[in-house]
Amino acid sequence: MARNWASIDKMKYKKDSLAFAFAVLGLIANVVYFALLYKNNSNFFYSYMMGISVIYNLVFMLIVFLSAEEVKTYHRNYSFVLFVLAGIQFFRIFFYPRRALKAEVITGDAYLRMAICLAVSGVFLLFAAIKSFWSSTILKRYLEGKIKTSADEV
Amino acid sequence: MPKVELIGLKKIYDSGVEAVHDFNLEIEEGEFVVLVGPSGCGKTTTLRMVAGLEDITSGRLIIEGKDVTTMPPKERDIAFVFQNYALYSHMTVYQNMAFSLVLHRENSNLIHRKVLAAAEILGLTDQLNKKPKQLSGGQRQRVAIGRAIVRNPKLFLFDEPLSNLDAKLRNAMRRELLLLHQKLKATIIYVTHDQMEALTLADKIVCMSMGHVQQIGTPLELYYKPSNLFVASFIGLPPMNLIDVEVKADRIASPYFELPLDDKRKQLLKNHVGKMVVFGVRPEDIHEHGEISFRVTNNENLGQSTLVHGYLKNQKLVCKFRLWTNYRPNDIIKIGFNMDKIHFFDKDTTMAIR
Repeated sequence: MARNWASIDKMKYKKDSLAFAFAVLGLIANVVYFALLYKNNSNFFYSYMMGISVIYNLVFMLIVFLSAEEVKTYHRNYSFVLFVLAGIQFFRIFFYPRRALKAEVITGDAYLRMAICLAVSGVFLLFAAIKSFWSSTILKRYLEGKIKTSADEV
Repeated sequence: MPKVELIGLKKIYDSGVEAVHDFNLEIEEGEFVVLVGPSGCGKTTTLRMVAGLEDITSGRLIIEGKDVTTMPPKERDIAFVFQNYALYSHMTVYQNMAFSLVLHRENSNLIHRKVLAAAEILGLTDQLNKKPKQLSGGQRQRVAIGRAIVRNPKLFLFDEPLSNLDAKLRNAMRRELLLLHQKLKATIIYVTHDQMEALTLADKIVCMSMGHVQQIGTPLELYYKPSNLFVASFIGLPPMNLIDVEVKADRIASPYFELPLDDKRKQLLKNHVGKMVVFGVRPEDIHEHGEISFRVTNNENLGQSTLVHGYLKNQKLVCKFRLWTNYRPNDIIKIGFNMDKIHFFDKDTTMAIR
């Protein structure tokens, strides 16, 4: 069945706001995680790792933001970047918060809050990646003439 | 039934200034009506009253048989195109054109179709992703027009839309507006102080001065049959030459010339014999090789024609000759008037004598 021509064609003039919004929400969740991370009053983290951690988080957020801007204009490659970033967020749950809990430098509640932030961030980034991949693929195929639309049937 | 009726519209501001006085007009479906007049004559105020942006002091405004005199602007289904475009600079052309439809919560696919259709008509298809600052003045004005078109309103109002454009672009846009009107067959009220715009665009011209309607008619009527001295002097570029003359039994006389009257003119002026009237002749109705002495002050060569400025003794006069002439200052040439095209106006009432 042919797809509605206007629903695809309008993508040429409209930004992928939903993918952008998901990516930004993922970024915000990471910011909350970032704040919780340094809120912990423990010596566990007061080492050279702290500097690396700060730089890592800043770079991570910068890449998320740039990817969010790019997926807004249907750049499909950046949806792959978002897939990777989402994966990293899920992976991070088992890195610092988990290790800190095992070392008993954070409480169970603090671990839970931080894990939730990372999980939420990962989920939003995953949504953003899926949405942008789906939209940009449709637009790409439409522009290549590979999608049959209602306008073709007229 | 006329599409729009303005019945005795009057606008008096709080300060007591009467901007529009007893304005009556009937506009038919698909008609292009131009309000023309000098600055401050009340044409924009009239337009704003039609749009609902100004309260109507008295009178009635009827659109498609419905009295909308006190109706708020948003309920009148009218599109207004402003002189300064009034585009949203942070939005793309597409978003600007779609904006009013988005506010009305129309289906996004339908909005898309309407915007593309309007962009196609206006030649903006390639500009839809650009911001207004990336466009030329003419393109911006087309976006403003496009924003009006997508709504498919009952009535389009244009308030001096070409005033911000340079002369060349204005000519081009004028032609585009004319073509657009032919395509859309929309009912349009257009305000301008540029008589060339009025003469080229209008089906019907309303000539205004000091809040009063001076004449309503087709461009040809206003040009060839001006109803009074104001219209005669306002319409036409350069304006009509106006000279005081005395009516004699068989001729008209002035300190500069005497001209015999044919039977038709004698009949026309029979009630003015012995009185002063105003004699009017358009510059293009003056020809060389006549019998009246004319002292040249300067030429304006326009390519296809030449405007020759000068004096009949101390009466200033402008002639428009078809050929390229190179008269020098203080040359004395002989001119004559095309007697079929002359006009007479009552000196007291300023009305045309017909």
